[in-house]
Amino acid sequence: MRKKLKILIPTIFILLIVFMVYKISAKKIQELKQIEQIQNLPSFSFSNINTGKVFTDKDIEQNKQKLIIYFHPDCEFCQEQATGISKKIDDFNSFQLLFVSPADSVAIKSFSNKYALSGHQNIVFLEDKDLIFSTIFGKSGVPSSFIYNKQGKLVKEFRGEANIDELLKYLKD
Amino acid sequence: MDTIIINNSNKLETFLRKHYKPNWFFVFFCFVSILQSFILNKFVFTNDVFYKSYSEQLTTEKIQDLLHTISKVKWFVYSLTPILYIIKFTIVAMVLATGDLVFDYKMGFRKLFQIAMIAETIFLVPQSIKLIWFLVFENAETIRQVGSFEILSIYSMFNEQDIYDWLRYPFSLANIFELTYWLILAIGIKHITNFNFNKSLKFVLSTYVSALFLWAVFVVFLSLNLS
Repeated sequence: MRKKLKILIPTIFILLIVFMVYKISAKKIQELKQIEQIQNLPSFSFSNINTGKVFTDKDIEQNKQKLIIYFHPDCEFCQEQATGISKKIDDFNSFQLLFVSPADSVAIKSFSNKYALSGHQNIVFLEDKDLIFSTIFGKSGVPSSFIYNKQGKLVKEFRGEANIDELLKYLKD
Repeated sequence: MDTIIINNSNKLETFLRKHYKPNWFFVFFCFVSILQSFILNKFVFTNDVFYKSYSEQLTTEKIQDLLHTISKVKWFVYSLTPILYIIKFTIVAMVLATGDLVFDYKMGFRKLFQIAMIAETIFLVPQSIKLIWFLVFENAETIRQVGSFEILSIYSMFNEQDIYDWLRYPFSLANIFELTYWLILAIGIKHITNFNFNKSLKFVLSTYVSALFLWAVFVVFLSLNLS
């Protein structure tokens, strides 16, 4: 019995270490690729809930700073962030805002109406039908916010609820 | 080095035989630990520190809510301290007992539990240094600044910005106090067996330190997969 334990315990120990180190390495390689990928505005394609057409990175106004917000209409922090943006909507006029959500288009529309964010030329609501946002922008909870400058370079990313003044500060930079 | 450790451990053994009462030791240990946490929360983690720490992510109202919640649950968290320590001592004793079972040394779980409890006192030292540092020498600006104060560790050899979050735990784990903890465990093992110090240390390395290494890798694995 003891002889078996002397072999079994170190074997389990080594197997566990090898398994976890392998998984850690794979995860780190994937993360590094994603970090590099989002340094410049990546290619994407979502569905515009107003037109029903496909909206890609090519459709973004190139000469404006861009704020991409990943959200869910049911998320309390997203609702608070939307309230904050709505209150200072005039300060966001010169920037392009993209709201992307994995929710269905009806819920997104209702969200945009509730927080008075619909009907603005510079704000687009997009549906992430194929749930691909996290594979493009890295693992993203809701809300996550990404600020890109006019040249499409990443200026700042916020994981979690972002303070509205901080968003404006980095957009104006 | 070996002689110094053995001489000191003989003095320690004499002292413990005379004065050591396990139950009172545990009460005293928990009291000091809770007192340290209380002082840290009261005088270092001030409201100002919370506002500075979360101003980028949360609105002022949200931070106020957070502070209100913390003030409501803090005594409950303090009351959990003894339970958490009992769990920790049990786990350490179980790891050592596994080695005891495999090698058939017949040390006994109760004695191993007490060794784990005595050895744990070494970790009150870095916590006290941290308290003194932030009470006397430096004003805390953010929660992260206090959390990253890992004195005499590999972590402290780097700039905080240069270390990935996932490496924080293993780097802070590799510190002088952790090494001392291993030595105290080995001294304890030496006293409940007829081993010499080297054999006791080898036993600690092959049981506790191996398990700690597995735990550190597991924490990194979890932090990467849950983030």
